[in-house]
Amino acid sequence: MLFSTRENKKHYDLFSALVMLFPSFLVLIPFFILPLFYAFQLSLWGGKRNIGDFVGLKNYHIAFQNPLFWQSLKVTIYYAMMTVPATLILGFCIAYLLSKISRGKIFFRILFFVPYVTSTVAVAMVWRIFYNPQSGLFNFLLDSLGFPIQKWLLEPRGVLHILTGGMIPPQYGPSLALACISLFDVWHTFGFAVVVFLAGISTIPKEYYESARIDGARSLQILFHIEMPLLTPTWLFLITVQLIRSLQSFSSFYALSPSGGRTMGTTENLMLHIYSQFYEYGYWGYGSAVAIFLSVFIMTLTFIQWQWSRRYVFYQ
Amino acid sequence: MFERKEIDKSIFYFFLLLVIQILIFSNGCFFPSNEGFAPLNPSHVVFWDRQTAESAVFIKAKANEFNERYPGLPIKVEKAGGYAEIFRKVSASIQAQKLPALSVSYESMTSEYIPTGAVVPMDEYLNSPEIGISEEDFADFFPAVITANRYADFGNKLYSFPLAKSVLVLYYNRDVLMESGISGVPITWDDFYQHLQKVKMKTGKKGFAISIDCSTVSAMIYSFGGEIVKGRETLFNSPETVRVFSFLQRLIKEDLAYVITPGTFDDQIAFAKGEIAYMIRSSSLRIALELLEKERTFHWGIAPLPYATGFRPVTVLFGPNITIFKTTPEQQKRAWLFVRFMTSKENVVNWAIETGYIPIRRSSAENPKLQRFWKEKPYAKVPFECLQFARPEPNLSGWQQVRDMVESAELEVLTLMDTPENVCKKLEKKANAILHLP
Repeated sequence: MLFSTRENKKHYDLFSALVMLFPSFLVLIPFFILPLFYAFQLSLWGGKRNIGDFVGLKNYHIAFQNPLFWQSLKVTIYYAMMTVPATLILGFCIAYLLSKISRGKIFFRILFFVPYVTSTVAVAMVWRIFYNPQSGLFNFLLDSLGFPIQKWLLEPRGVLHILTGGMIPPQYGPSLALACISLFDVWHTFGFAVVVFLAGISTIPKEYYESARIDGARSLQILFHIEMPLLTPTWLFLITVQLIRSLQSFSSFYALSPSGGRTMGTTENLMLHIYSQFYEYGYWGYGSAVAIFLSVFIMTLTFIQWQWSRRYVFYQ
Repeated sequence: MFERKEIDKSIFYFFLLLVIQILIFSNGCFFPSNEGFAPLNPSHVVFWDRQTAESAVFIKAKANEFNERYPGLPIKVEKAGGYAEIFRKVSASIQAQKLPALSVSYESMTSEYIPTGAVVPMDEYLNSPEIGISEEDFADFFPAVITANRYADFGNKLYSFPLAKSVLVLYYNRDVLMESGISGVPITWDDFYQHLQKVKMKTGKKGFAISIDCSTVSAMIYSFGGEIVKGRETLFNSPETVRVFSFLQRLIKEDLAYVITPGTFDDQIAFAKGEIAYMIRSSSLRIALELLEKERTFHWGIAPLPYATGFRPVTVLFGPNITIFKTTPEQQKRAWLFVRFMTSKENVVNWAIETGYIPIRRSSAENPKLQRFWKEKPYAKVPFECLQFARPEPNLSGWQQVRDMVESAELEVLTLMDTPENVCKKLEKKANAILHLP
């Protein structure tokens, strides 16, 4: 009797859960799940600008043998490695300083948040003018300070090659063109990190600070022993969101990456690779295969992050 | 109480089963059934166009005139965005099997549509005694503009028809040339190089802004006596292509030229400001320069593209064509009639005067209206004269991807990343691999 009641309860709970989840499925199924199936199915078929023969996993095999795929994956990883830490560290530093001032906090918060809410393409156009090798702001500044001017978005050489005066071969590391796009992206998105960190800092109970001060703790000690541990959920959230965003970045690449050869492929990330293969060249199956790979790649990274977070993230 | 973990597990397994079921039983269920192509709008002959400003007004006015003059299903002109957008939209429409009756397209776009079976060859309409174009009238079109629309990969059929044509020309800023003590325009690339040296010496300016562009590279290869393809093999690893890239690299190394950001018109602005002496662009840019001339005074002109010493003048042919798609016999026939109407002697002349494009018929030169126009603006006649020796670019399937490779190679040369010889070798190998894809 007890068993059957428990079983009924189980079924009832499962049914309630499904009923409550139903409204979200109404959106998720047609706009996320079905397109995902469609993309997966497309990835198993050949044909150009059309659905040809069933080829199984051949499109995945072609991708893994294609140097352009590996180049775009490398660009994607470089980009994430440059933008995620820079955005978060800059965002945290500014949020920390803002949390310590009593006047003008709202003004600065808005000031830093404005780029984030501005259209990526619109501000990218302004940055494109800044990066103009002939008449741009950056070369004007470099020239005024007596440094050699740069080609910025047109420069396929590695940043390390340029910084070391040619000691490192030009093909190593991210290109200057990619660094330019990363710099733009950090400027464009760090405002979001500032706002989220500020919100995180404001939730730390005042008593913790008071107790620490009574015990004679200094600002740096408070930062590393109280604020940082209590902000680990915020860090986790931002790292996850920023990492996914950087791996899926499209607008800033599309708007800033020169169309003529995309700086010899040094500014073609996986999203642009998918876009060009799928839309421009019509390899629907191949484009879908790379898209599915990217989804799995992101999911795997997110899963690893969540596993890692169990050890290091501290919840109050 | 049922554990949350267990609910999660149940939901997970439920969806896992669903996914497996869908994947096993779907077998292409997400793909549309192959029922044949249908018109986007059964009551209108939809024409997807990209023209803006004067050209758009002209086409709409002509569509209205056509609808009044030839009663039947009306032509409806819809601005479908730029060429890239139209390409994507048509590709999606092919997949959805709902197509506009006709659309503007470059040869490289049409050659991608043809294998899907969505494009109507126009030969039958062209040769029809009732609605075709007479042999004599057809001979009036410049051969190059017709050749560009015959697709060797697909039985040499006429899968598109020329609409708005332009050629690659050399624009010169007369003020900068005068300041540098140069009186004429360069005839050969050697002259061009010497002019740039003079500009640099007298004014300190880099006289030429290079716009990274596959068509410019193609034209330069032709002008050095080279060829681009033979069948489905590219000939980029040739002495002529090496000479082209070496010439461009030399201009950069000697600080006589600079590269503009691709996709921008920075050269046009620098040209109007008198910062450069030369730019190589499509003849359709004439209208934009005339508009800039209204804002600031500068003197400029158009000259044919220079060529290598010992060779003959040559340039490449640009501009969109019209492609008719499989819809219904009635829509297809109306679409063809509209194509014929738009390319009539009278309309070709009006089109050339109203827009920056050039007339595609030989007889246009004798038209009094056009002669008056050329008298007013002598530079506008230069592109028309260039049509005599203009050559189309390859229209092979997969060429769009090769174009991007050429531009990437050009950037590699211009940023001094590698030698022209190595770049040409790599380019030919990569381009041939693309063209040999099934």
